Amino acid sequence: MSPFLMLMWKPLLACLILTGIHTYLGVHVVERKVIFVDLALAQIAALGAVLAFMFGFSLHGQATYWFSLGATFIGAIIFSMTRTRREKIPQEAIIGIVYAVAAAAAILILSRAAEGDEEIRHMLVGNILLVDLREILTMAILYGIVGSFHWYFRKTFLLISTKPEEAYRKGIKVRWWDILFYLTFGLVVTSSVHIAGVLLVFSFLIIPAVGAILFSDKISGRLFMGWGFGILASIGGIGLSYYFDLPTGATVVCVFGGLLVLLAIVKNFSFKKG
Amino acid sequence: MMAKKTLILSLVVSSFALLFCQALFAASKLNVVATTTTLANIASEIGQDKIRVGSIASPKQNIHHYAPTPKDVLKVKRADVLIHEGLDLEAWREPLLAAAGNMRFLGEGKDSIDVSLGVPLLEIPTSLSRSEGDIHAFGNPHYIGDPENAKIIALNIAEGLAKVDPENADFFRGNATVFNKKMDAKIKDWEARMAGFQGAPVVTYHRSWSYFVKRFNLSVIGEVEPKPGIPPTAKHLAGLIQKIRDKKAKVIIKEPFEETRTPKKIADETGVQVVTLSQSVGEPKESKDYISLMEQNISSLEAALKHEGGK
Repeated sequence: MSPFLMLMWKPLLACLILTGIHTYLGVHVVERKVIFVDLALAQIAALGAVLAFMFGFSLHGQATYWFSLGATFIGAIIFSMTRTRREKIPQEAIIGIVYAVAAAAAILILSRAAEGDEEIRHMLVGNILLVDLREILTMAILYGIVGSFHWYFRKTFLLISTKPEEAYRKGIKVRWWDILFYLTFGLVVTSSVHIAGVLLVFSFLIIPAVGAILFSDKISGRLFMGWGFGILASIGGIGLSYYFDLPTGATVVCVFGGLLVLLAIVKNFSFKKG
Repeated sequence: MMAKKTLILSLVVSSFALLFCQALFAASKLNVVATTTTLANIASEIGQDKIRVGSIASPKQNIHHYAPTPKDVLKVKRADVLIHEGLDLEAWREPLLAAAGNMRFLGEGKDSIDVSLGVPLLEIPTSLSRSEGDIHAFGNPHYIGDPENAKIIALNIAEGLAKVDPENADFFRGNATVFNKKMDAKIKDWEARMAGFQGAPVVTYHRSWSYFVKRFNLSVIGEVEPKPGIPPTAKHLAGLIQKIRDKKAKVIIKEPFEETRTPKKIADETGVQVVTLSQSVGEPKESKDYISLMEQNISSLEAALKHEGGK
């Protein structure tokens, strides 16, 4: 095996799994216009971990995981309850508020702890380079289950995300489906952020979806383009990180950004020509 | 034409032969990786031409929170010996070793050298409560700040290398003795220069100078951080400024990667000197080895303590 593969197959595999689920969820998130919801949920998860930490549990233990999952679920319920049919307060405002308050609450609690500040930063930074096989397997199984669930109910989920008015008219219980959506979304994001960090997870979620919107109006088209885009950026980013010895997560994020600019230029060019 | 071809061919062949020889020569050296530049430097004093040594964490960053790069994983993967500071100084050590998957360092880690063995540790928590700042479960890990501990480190490295390469055991042990003699002379000199400041009150940014101040009999009256890793609060700063005035402290000791705004604010209020001391060889650039690093620390501190002023 080449030294590149020998060293980078685990991060690469992790990136491909992340691409799989996040591109799909990203299509939803962009349609629902709740771009920063993953940051808010990650911050809530971190707050849950801080609470566990204060109760004396180790930061990487099982109890802490359940605490942060529990906190994420509360967040999911908040986000599904605050979406109303005729919204007066934009959903993004709620997301921003939840993010800021969760982050501030974590700081408050941590001001009574030691070096926790850095520990929490770690939770939100992650390090995709050092991902281990157990984490990859857990991720694959968990995301497989969430993915199948979404595949089975894809029509309802997609209808609510793309045409909420029609969903309401059809008598679908939008609020309950929203809770389901944010619960599964929160489960995925919390696990991903722990491994890959906030920046990388945000990029996997939003950039492929946005890039695909440039070229396709159909959901299936966007999904496949997004996956292609994500795979390309993962391989490119991991490769550059290896050959130039750069921090892996940040390199993948920058490759995502670069590719998006490239796509936009191509799109503009072909549009003018056409 | 023919001659030219032969010439080129022989050049190519000989350069390959040269490369091959170099590779062979290099292969006969022990490949050593140290987690910090300071350990790498002490290891090179012990191993000299019998080892090839590299380091992982950048001296410019806080050692607790370094983020390894792909090259670091590769270094560990290819290493014969790993030297680390033990305890929980390198928070990234375990994940890095797992990612590299080098069997020499996994499990019992038979070829890794924990240089903290035998170091008399300070601040070992009696009961581990995170809320009290006892994040370091095994005791304060910044023991490299005491030059006496550098001698223990040198002996640990020599023993560790001797175990992996028994043929050169005497060579390694001999070099450790030479290094420790040099250290003894230096420590005498440093202690003499600091003797005039016995019990001098100082403030440190983080609790990373406990070993250093104990060696040179300084007394720490407070930290800029209220608790390790927690940024200063207004009340804490006010209290610290009052303490500095009461006890007439002259110096705030910070490391290169710690922020300067808060120490400077305190300095503006009280007239104390802010000195940047380092425990990492290579930061500042002039500190090429452990001795010159400590020499620089002592000189900066001496100058700051002699400084007349204060408000």
